[in-house]
Amino acid sequence: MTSCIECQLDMYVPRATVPLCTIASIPRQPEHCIEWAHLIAWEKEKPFPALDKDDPEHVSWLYRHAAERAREFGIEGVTYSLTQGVIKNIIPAIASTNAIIAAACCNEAFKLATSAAEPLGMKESYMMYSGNDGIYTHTFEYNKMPDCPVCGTTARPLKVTPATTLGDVLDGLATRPEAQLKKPSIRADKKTLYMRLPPSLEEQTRPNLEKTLAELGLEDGQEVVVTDPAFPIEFRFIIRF
Amino acid sequence: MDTIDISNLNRQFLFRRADVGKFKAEVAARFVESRVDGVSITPHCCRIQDFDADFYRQFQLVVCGLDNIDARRWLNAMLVSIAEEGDADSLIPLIDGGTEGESPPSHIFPIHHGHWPPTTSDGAIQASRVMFALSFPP
Repeated sequence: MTSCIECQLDMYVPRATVPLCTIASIPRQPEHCIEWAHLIAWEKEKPFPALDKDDPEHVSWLYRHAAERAREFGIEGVTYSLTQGVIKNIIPAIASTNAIIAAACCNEAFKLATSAAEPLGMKESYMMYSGNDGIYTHTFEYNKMPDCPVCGTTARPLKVTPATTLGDVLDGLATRPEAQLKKPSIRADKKTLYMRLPPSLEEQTRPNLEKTLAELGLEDGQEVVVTDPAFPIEFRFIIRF
Repeated sequence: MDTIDISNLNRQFLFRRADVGKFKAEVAARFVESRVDGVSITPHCCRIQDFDADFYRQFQLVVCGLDNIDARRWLNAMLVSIAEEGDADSLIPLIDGGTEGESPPSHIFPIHHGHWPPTTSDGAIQASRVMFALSFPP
């Protein structure tokens, strides 16, 4: 078996978030101005009863207010289409890229199905095309992670301190690129630390969120198991102080 | 589950204006069937997570064209759990294709919880990749 998608999870870095205060106080990017128009100006002025992101009149309103704010702060780059992109979270995609990637998938499927040629995955397992830079495609071997929760065999180290609260540990699991678990429940050996379901157990374990790992009796080298309703597997971590 | 939006038409060649609002899987299946003789396609308009291991076991090959990470992770974990050591037939190769915003994190637009933000400027072309997560043993 080659490396699996979970081994490569840190390639999909969670997008950084900008605090509302940056948007409200001093914007630095055109997107900040658009978010300002979207989240603050719109809420304040309520030009239409409800925002319809597909209505050109609504988008134009946001665009005008964003452009004005951008002018105020000397920021360039606010356009109508960027406004649309930001409020609808559109990732720019073009036909040729989709076609190249779909064709590459089909070629590999054909090779696997017919054995007509050696497919990717025997040596190199990852091909990447960056249309911005040219037509070269970079192909390389993505190694398996021995501590991958899906295909690996060992638990993954979780760097924390004894003074970290359980709640902070769980929040951290959402943002760590290699974890990205948004609704984690956690248990140690024989002890339930925090469970989201059922509600009665959630209520019972909620006070633990405020406690530090030391208070909960967790030690360096101890294994904890994390589950998340989005995934059919358990994630094993080893506490490392 | 995904339905056709008018903004898809510039790059998703299987869809026409009259298809806006319909299920993508449904329209794509009918289009390919009418275009290529002898091909039979069964569309499913639901989440991939709605199927169990027995459903996935019937395939010899899985090609992913998914638009989110959670679904990829779920399917990946499913296929790995089906694979059994010493049984080559239980290894289902997964071919995963995807495109993403090209910019490094510093260029990526920041937003609040739960959104999948766009890249920063017009014309930023995305890096793309084909990924082979599982393969036949060498």
